[in-house]
Parts: sequence; C-alpha cells; structure tokens
Amino acid sequence: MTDVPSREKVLRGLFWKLMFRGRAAHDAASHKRRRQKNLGLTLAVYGVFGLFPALAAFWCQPLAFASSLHMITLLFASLTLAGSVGTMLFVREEAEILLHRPVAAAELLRAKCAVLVTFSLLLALALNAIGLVTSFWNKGNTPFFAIAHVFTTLLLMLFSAALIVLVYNVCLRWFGRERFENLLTLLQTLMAIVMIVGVQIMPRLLDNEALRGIDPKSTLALLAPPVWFGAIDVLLCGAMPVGQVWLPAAIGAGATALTTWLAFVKLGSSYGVGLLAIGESSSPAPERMQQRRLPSLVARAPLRWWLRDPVERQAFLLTSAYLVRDRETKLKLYPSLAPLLVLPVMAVFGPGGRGDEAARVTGMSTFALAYAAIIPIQAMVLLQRSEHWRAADSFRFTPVPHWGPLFHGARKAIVCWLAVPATVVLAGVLAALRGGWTPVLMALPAVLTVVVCSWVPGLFSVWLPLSKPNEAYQVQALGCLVFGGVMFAAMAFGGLAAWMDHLGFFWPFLVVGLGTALLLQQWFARIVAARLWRTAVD
Amino acid sequence: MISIRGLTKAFGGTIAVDALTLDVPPGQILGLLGPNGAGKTTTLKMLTGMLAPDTGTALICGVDIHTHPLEAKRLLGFVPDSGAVYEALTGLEFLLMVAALYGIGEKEARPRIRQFLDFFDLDEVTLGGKLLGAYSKGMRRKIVITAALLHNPKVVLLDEPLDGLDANAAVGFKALLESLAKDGKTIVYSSHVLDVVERVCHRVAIIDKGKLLVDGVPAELITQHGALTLEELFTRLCGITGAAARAAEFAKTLLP
Repeated sequence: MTDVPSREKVLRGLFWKLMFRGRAAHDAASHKRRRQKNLGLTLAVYGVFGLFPALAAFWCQPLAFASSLHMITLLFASLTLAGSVGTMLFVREEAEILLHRPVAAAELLRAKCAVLVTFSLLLALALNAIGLVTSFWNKGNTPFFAIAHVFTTLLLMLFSAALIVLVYNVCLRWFGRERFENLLTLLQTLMAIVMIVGVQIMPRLLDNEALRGIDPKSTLALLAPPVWFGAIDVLLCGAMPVGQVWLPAAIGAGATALTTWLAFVKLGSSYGVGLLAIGESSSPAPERMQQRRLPSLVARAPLRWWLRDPVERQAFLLTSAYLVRDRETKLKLYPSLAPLLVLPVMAVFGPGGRGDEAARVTGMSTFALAYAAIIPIQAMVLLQRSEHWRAADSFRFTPVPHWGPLFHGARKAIVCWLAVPATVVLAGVLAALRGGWTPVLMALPAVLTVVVCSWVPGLFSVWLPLSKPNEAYQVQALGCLVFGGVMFAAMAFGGLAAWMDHLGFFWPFLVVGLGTALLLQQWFARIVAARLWRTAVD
Repeated sequence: MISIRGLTKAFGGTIAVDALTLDVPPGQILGLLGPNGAGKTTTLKMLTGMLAPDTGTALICGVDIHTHPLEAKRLLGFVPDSGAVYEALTGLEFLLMVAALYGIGEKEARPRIRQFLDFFDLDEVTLGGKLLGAYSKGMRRKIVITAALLHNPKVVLLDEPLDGLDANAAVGFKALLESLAKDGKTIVYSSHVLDVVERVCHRVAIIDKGKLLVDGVPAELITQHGALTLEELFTRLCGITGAAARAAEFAKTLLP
C-alpha cells in the first residue's frame, strides 16, 4: 500500500478541487479549463493592485515599505481568505459525507486551512510580486528583503487563517447555528465593505507624509499587524537595528504562534461539533415566529393591496423567506450588494472632495443614488440562482398560466425589502455625512428609477425565482451591456433631476418622472405578458 | 459485531435516544424501525461516531467508537439517508478519495470500483467524466452505497438505502445484503419500508421516542403480539390505530 497518500494529503486534494468547482456542474474537463483561466486572471488583477504599495519603495523607509506591502496583503489576500473560510469550513451535509469515515475533525480543519492558506498565499505573492522587485531600489533596504518578505507573507497568511478560523469556531460555539449564519453573512458583508473602502483610501494613505516613516515603538505601530510583520521583514534582512524593531516583531511572531495554537490545537477537535451543528435542522421556536410574522405582514394593507394575485403573493413570501432565512442566499446576496452602497459614498469623498460646494454635492449625490438602480437587478440576478433550484419544478408542474406573477412577486419582494430601503438608507447616510437635504430630495427620483429597473431582468427572458443552479451558464456580455445601459439611464435621469432642482423645477419634474415611470411599467408589463410560459418549460 | 449499552442522547429537553441497549452479532441483519423522530438516525449517528452520546457506550467489533473513533470507523461502512456527496467531484474522483481515506491506494481501489460498476450497471464514462451534481438520484445512491462498501467493512449501517434505486438495483442490493450477512458482516438496516425490512432482516428492533419497544425475529414478534403482519404490529406499538378508517374519513372530507 505504498501508493496510498496520507489522509491529510487526500483531503487537501479534495478541498483544492472543491474550491474551484461549482456544485451543480456537469462536465469535469470544462471546469479544469475554466479554473486555470479564472486563477490566471485573478492573479493578474492582484498583481496590478500590488503596484500601489510597490511604488512606496521609492520614497518610504524600509519598515514603512514592508508594512505597506503587508497592509495591502492583509486587505486583499486575508479578506479573500476570510470570505472563503466561512463557506469552506461549514459545508452543510459534509458531516454525513466525511465524519463517519476514519477522519479526525482536526485533520479536516487542517486540510481546509492548508488549502486556504496556499490559495491566499498565491494571491499574496501576486500582490507582492512587483514590490519584491522594487524592494531592490528601496533606500536603506538590503538584498535579502525579498526572501524575508516571502517568509513573512506566509506567516501573515497563517496568522490570518488561524485568526479567522478561531473567530468562526468561537462564534459557532457561543451563538449556535442560526445566529452563526447571520454572523457569517455580517462578517462577509463587512469584509466586502472593508475591501472597497480599502481600495479607495489606500492610494491616499500611501500619499500621507506621516506614513512614509513609521516609529516602530509607537502605540499605533504595536497595535497594527502590518507593522508587526514588516518589523520581522526588516529584522530578518538586517535593514534596521534589532533594538528598534524587536518588540513589534516579537508581537507578530507571538500572535501567530498563539492564534495558530488556539485555532488548530485547542479548538481544532471541536470543529466536528460545529460541522454537525451546521447540518442540524434549526430549532423550532424562532422558525415558528418567523413563519407567523411574514404572512401576517402580507395579509395587512398596504402589502395586501399591492399583492392581490395569490401566486404573486406566494412568490413574494418565498423570496422574502429566502432573503431572511437561507444561508446560501444571504451569503451571496448581501456581501455583493454592500459594495454597491459603499462605493457611491466613497465617491462623494473622492480626491479633491474636501470642498463642500452645493453643485458638487448635488452631482455626486445624484450619481450615488443612481447607483442604487443596480441593486434590484443585481439582487434579481442572484436570486434567480439557488442550490435549491430543482424545487422550481413545482412552478412548472402546477397549473400556473403564466410566469409573470412569480416574477412580479419576487420583484416586489426585492423592491420592498432591499432596493427601496437601501436607497433611503443611502440618501440618509449621504445627507448625514454632507449635511443638507439634497440627497434626500434626490432619493425621490432614485426610488422611481429603482422600481422601474426591477423590471429589467424579466424583459429579456423568462425569470423565475430560485430556478437555476449557481453554476448555470450566463451571457456575461449581455449582462454587462444591460448593467451599463441601466447605469447610464439612471444617471441621466438623476442628472436631469439635479438640473431641474437647480432651475427650481424639481417638483414638476418629479410629477413628470412619476408619469413616465408608470408608462414605462405599462410597457414592460406588456413585454412580460407577451413572453409565454412555454419558453420556461422548454 | 455491534454492542450498545445504555446509549442516551438528549437535545435540549428532548430525549432522542433513551438508554438503548442492543447487541447485533456477526452475520445478522437487524432492521431498525420506528416512526419519524423515533431516534433511528440519532442512534445511527452515534454508532458511526458522528454524534457523541450523553451516556452509554457503543462498541464496533469490540472497539469503542467514542474512545477510539478512527479504529472503529475503519471497521464500518455507512449509507446516510441524505445520500450526501461532493457534487463537484466526478463519481470516480469521489470513490478514489473515499478509498484513500480508508488507506486503499488507487491501484487497489480501481478493481474494487470496477466490481461495483459491474454490479450496479454503472457506465465507466459517466463515472469518470460527469460530476456527481449531474447524476440522477438513483445513480448517486449507487455511488454512496459503493463508497460505504468499498473498503469491505465488517459492520454496515444503512439508513433508507433503497431510496431512489430502481427495481432491478433494489433487488440486486437486497441479495447483496444477504450475501454480505452470510459472509459474517453485521448489518443494521433502518427504513420505513416495512415489507422490505420483513423480507431482508433476520431480526427487527422497533423504537419510539428513543426507547426500544420490541426486539426479535419478525415472525416470532408478530405471533407474540397477535398481529397478522409486521405493519400491523408496528402501527399498534407506535400508537397509530385505525389508519384505514381515518384515511377514508379524510378522503371524504377533502375540499373540492
């Protein structure tokens, strides 16, 4: 039996494959090709992102340069790692596949983390590739910096993986499955936001005079993980005296050792309990409460008036339930929508945005709110796909004469619970940050845009909620064209609203906009009605 | 063999399995019966080491599953009722991965897989090229059964194993179980399909609310309790009385 690989090696091979393949795909060979292409593209994009800190080599001292490289690594590679860990660590039904076989829970955890660390290390190396080259021009640095930096990047990835695993394991222990799933969604949403904010502020931070030279003994440096690992870099390559950087370097090494021990040794054996808990059915009490709340809301005005068609009402309930209860839906929906809300806010504070001239605020608020038009389309694209896609057969074998009510029910749920509240929140945030009522005023045409845009996914093909596998083929080019067109139209409408406001015709414009929105919806309703149900069955 | 002593598991205030004591000798097929929520799956999960009992012990061929889980797990094969597999792997990748977890290398695993392929009439091209997510329910079930038996375990635990299998495969599988029992394997067969259990199993244990109600040879149990069939005995023990009358009444009152 000499050709038998160790269990951990087998598991590492398994999780590496699973990381790149979808669940509901058909052909293994096509996946291999797509995997290589996607990985290559991702590494290239990360390489480009690495350009910003790499340029810091020309004006920063070695510790600041090393820390900036670790900062961007922490921002991108570690957050990608954090985003993947939750979905990889806690796969529903995995307990039923593996835990009755001779595999220890700690082995499973180690194998998964090894795969995640390897993957994030690849990303980290792509991010740092240009920096490793420019390090040779870094004033005061030594030629050994590149070797030391590869080692500390590995250390940083290990620290990140251990910390994330530790947080997830502790949360699962303390909060139970249902709260854990919400926490997972919240964490991933926050990570997406941090990444977007990071991309926006990184170039400005690197431009900051104060960061060009870091005092390794300052409190801020001792609390910042990028400085810890930067200190290990300069310590190993001898770019700075040991006496100056030993403390942050020791904190970095100690923190890595401690978190690794806690995550993989101390709590590693309890990982199996968490894996089983994820597969368990939820406790009956909160489920009953949720079941009561949603139908009673729908049974009352104004939702009762808005959802007169019973099929539409049920599609509304189905979509609403998935928005709130389904782990997979929540994990893919909210983290992908969060950047859509954060980007416009960041844009308002863009370069040169320190002045608060009224026209600029109006223009940027209009842009920001027009961005909200993407929310219903993005949400509907994501909600068309689900791991429970086979259940959509029930729409087809029941005598429903047309797919329209199913589309409208889901569309209305997204408008009601996501798109309109998101627009209002965005307007509120912008108003609070910039002062004045302009963003709130601009939210009114934005709400009209959002409602009209929610029809878009149903204009090009039959749209059923949760009816396609996550890996189903989609025409990317058409999608981009539609997104681009919608963005352009939404911004044009927003811009027009801002101009009318400037001329003092905002309210008449809004009335005209309302009329146009109603007419457009009439037209869209005809398009939807004209596309027959048979297309869906075919 | 399997030896269970005082196995107990509670979830919050609900006792799922209540001081269960059972022995299943080699060469015997035990049918584990019970209504929904009786504690069958919890018992099987404790026997496979997936769930730790609150009290009691479970020995697989003399090895305690909870103190020596890896040694005990090597001795058993389990077919879960969920039929869960990694859908992003091909059938062949999945089976080779499972074989490796039991210490069986690819060279040794391939002829074993070939045997099961022939037995279940599975197509080699599909097994190697198609991902499990695209398999039919029956094909997936065949893969799960193959994965449970590939390492030739001494103890086989089956939770609704026939679910999704076509009639031919089901007949073949039942015959396979009998052959495995003759070879000295210990088999626990949990199912709701009473006539299959009656035909396949040497012995049945009926549990309800986590407690063992009866345990014995089906024919003897039926005689002892004055029932005509295993189904009648089961419904009587589990408190399901007058099912036919209730169904007739229900059908009459069905709204148009």
